[in-house]
Amino acid sequence: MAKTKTIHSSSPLAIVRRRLMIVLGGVVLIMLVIAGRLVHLSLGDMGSDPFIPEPVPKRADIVDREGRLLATDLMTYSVYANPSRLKNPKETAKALCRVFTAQECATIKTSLTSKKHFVWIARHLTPKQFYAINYLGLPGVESFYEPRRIYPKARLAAHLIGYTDTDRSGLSGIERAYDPNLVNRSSPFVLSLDSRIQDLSMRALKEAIDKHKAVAGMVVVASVKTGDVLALGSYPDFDLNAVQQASEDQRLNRPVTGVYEMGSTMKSFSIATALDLGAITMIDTFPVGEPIKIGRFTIRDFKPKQGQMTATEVMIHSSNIGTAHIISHVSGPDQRRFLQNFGLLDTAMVPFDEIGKPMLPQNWSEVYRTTVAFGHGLSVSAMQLVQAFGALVNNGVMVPLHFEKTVGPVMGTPVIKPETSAMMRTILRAVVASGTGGKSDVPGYEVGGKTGTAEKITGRGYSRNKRMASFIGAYPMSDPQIVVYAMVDEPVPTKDTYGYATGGWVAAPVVAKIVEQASPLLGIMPKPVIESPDALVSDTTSPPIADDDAVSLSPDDQ
Amino acid sequence: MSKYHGFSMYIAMVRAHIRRLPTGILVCSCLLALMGVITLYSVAGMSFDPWAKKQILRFAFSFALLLAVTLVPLQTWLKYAYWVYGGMVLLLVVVFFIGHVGMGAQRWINLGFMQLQPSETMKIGLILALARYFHGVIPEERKRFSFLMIALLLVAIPFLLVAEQPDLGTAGIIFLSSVVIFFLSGVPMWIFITAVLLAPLIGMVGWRYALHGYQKQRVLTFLDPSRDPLGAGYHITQSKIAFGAGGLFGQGWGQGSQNRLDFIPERHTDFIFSVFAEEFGLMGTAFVLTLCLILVGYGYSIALSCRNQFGRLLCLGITSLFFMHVFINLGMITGIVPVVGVPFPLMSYGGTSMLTTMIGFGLICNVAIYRRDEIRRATLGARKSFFGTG
Repeated sequence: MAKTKTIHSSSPLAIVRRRLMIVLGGVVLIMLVIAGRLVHLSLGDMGSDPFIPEPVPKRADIVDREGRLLATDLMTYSVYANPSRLKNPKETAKALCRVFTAQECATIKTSLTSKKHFVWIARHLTPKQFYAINYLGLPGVESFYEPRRIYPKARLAAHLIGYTDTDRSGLSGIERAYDPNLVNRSSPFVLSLDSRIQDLSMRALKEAIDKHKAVAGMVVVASVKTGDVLALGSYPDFDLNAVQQASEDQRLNRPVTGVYEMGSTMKSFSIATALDLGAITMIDTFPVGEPIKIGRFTIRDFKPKQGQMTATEVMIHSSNIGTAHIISHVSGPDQRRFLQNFGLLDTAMVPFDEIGKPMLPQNWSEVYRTTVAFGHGLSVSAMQLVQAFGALVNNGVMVPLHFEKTVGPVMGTPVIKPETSAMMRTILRAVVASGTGGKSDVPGYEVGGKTGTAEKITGRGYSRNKRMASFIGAYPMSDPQIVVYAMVDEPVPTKDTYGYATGGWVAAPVVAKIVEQASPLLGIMPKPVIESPDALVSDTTSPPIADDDAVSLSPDDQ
Repeated sequence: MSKYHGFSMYIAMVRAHIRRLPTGILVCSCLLALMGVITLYSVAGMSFDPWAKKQILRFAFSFALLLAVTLVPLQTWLKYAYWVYGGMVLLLVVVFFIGHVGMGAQRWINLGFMQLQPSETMKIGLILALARYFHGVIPEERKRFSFLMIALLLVAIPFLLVAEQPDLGTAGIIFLSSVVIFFLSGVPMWIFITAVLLAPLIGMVGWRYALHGYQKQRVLTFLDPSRDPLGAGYHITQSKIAFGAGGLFGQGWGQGSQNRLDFIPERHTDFIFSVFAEEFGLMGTAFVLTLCLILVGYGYSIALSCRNQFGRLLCLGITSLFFMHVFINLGMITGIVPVVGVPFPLMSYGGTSMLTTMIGFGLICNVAIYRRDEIRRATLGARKSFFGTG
């Protein structure tokens, strides 16, 4: 009996039967798991789990160079509902309306009566609002504790800091450019910005804008040695906590996004190029009496002078004719190479999406290369201009501008010779001490710089009345630390300025104010002032000796 | 006999043959394919194009093939089992070298009228070969090392070729269905126990050296879907939402919002059952699962009533294969197993999968017809001649 059983039990069929029972046990078990899962997903709460909002990742604070808070997360309550689960959507909406305005109420009614599985009722409630909703005790209305991006300084450096959407992903400025760096970062993101300098710069700018009834303006303050941007302002500005109410014009980051024909400030680079190549010397003179004809264009000066001028004088009087003569000593390729090295032909190396690309002239013919020499025909951003200007005064070394606070050594690129830079410092100082930039001078700080008054392009030609008055300067000229740029868009002349609305009369005083107020904060000491005839020349009470530098570029057939 | 002449005699023979076919399998497979067509129609926005029409034609063709498979006697299948296996391996090798590159993996041979996926057909080829190999073995043989080594080789060749493609899902299924056949054919129990104990070690080595980055991602995402809600976890999450949206009775044919709004990925292939569940609810799901269970029940009961080991193992292997497809696909779309790209048999859009499933059912029907035949091992010298006696 036992033997037959053994034989029998080792027959293939017997084995299959025995082992199939085990397999079937597995099959049944798996089927039970699957069936359970299907029932659970179809009928249980699991299926609606995705309708619960996901926890939002942390976003780092943004602080200025001194650690002052510029952007942070604040935990707020948001409320949501699953309309398909509400017993009585209409009643719920009606109850909620007691907390919200009539307008919000209408939206809530529509969303609650929809067939969706998830609707936000309101995001980022104030504690008072949230308490009120909680007090209503509405079943099916759920709350979600989520962070909201808050900008404690509201308008301060709004364009630079930028903003996020409701879900806190960056949309502009630093918030956008450094979005990946900000997400899940534990330490705050330190900007090169100094809130105090930002604030005083914007005040100075706004004062000039109000005084001259201008439409807009911008200001940039940067460290020459490190490339740290200390202030970056655009006016009109907006409140970062109320971005929705801001117009496109308000949100425009002028120094970064805008590209402009910079006007006479660009003459500095032409003179530097000629000096660096040895094409001219400081004692060479150039005729400025006769307008120059190139093709069908005639190059004139704003206030014609007679005789011969040195390069310094050309800059002091901002002579277009003189600049045209000087650049004619430089070959076209050399001129372009220097512009390229100054970074004026390439987009600034700032990681912003909204960065403006320079607009180059259609071609580099004689006419264009001459007009580019005194600032027309080539449009660049203020960022490019400030960076290139830094190189002029910083012994010829160009340090890239950036928005992160510098830690460690700075890498710069030599653009011109240190000797050329020294000559440029003398020239730029002379422009302020006895030229068009007199209004930017602050006794003891040795400001050097260049005015710029560009006629705005309206329609097909240049407008005589719509101007952009600008000034770019650096100080102290003996060892430049800070570069300041200010621009006022469409200033209206006032009695005060003797009917002028030029860079020297509108933008230079803004720079002076910034230099005066920022220097104590930056620890830059004034030098003892030695009374000199030059200093008297720039006295604000005296009538203007130096006229400004608006470009006169008119076709001959006019 | 004299009653039938010529053509009418053929009719009578066909009728007799049809009468011997297990009707349940035919009906259930037709219903399952019908559910697939209905869903494909809905996925295409209530249109026969581009999927439903093609799927109907493919099913018709595959059904004809099923009948053709039943016409070949089981003995013949036994005789040519290794040849079928060899042919399939050859196709895999062809795909390895000249295969059409699609979706980043070499899986298809373009036949002009359809894309043949040899890894699918390989499953049948391997089951045929293994069934034949284990046909009528004596207990002593089962314990012999060399005997098991050859069987392992039979599995290893296609497994490695498929894993190399790389197609983790199919390789896994090939492996699992082989394990089932090994198990049912009486390979000593201690081997399985040892394998289970060693599995974690093998898993660790495999994780380190064999898996591709995306495969690792899938496993990790499976373990924690929230780590990647917009990437690989998205599929599972959306699929789960579809089940939840379906509820008990479903949102109605063509009404599924997850389907309509394109939220379900691969909804005409791997995730078709999510669409079905959303539109027909738990009721529809239960119906399809019942069909599958009936098919599995048929398969195992036919196997148990079969008098020869070849037919029995063949039947068990194919039934297990079918069940594995259903279970892995459902597990995949409900988030129980990682997304490994296994289609739902007969419902998912795909020619080779349908062809393979129907040929498999054809073989089960074949076993049902010939189950009373006793095939002695002595009648086969074939295995020895195939591998040589040394």
